[in-house]
Amino acid sequence: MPFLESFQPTIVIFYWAYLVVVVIFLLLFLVNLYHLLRFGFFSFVNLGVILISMLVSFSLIAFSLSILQSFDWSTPLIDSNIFGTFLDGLLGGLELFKF
Amino acid sequence: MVGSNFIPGRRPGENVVAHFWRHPIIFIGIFLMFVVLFLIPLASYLIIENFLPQLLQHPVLLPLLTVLLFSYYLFMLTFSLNVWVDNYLDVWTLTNMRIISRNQLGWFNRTNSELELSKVQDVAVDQKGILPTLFNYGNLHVQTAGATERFLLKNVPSPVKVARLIHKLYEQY
Repeated sequence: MPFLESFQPTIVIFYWAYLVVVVIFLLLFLVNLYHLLRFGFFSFVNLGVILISMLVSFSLIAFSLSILQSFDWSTPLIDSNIFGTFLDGLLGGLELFKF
Repeated sequence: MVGSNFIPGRRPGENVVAHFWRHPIIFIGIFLMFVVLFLIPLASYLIIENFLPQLLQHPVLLPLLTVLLFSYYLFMLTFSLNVWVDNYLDVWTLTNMRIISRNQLGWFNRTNSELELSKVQDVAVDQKGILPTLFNYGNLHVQTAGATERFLLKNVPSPVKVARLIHKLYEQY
């Protein structure tokens, strides 16, 4: 199976998963917004909550996407070198398996 | 959105006397919950920075942690807004003819119930605990004639005043 042998999953799957979370969030946000607009009273409190929640939500999404742009998403998901170095750092100096 | 004079199924000569929402302390509770949920990742970050700084430089785990962090905040926002919607959209309207209760029980789940003032037999107030006593809120139970079920208005501000108002409107009706 040459295709499977050459297939190397990258960490971009985390990014895709996050985009799915964003879509779910937007759907649920629209449902909440619908309830506030349909059944809420025309008042400063209700309008304020709607505006603040929209502002916070869209700022958070924009900020998160800008932060996530800074990562190298082509990094292999499973790389023995990366994890080996990481474990060495984590266990630094303990030398657990050295007899 | 509905106006402050909105009454579902308005009758001729029917006027709004007052609308009641839950006491603001309930909403302060929601806000405090929001603050605690907001601070949890910051506390976790400080712990990781002090005890596992390697995690913050790892080329795989750092993006994963960042994605988890933002996902957490998005779910937290959804949860907080949902709690707000559930509480804020519970409204009790007192008119010169009826008591109308509109309850939000979750997404796409809303109940409307009403009670004729002429059928009111008894109005009881309960304020149990430190917070209800300090901030003057409580539950209002309205007993109707011929029915064993009581009409319950939860966490109403100044429940004794509301009970007196219901008595007054009943006498005028």
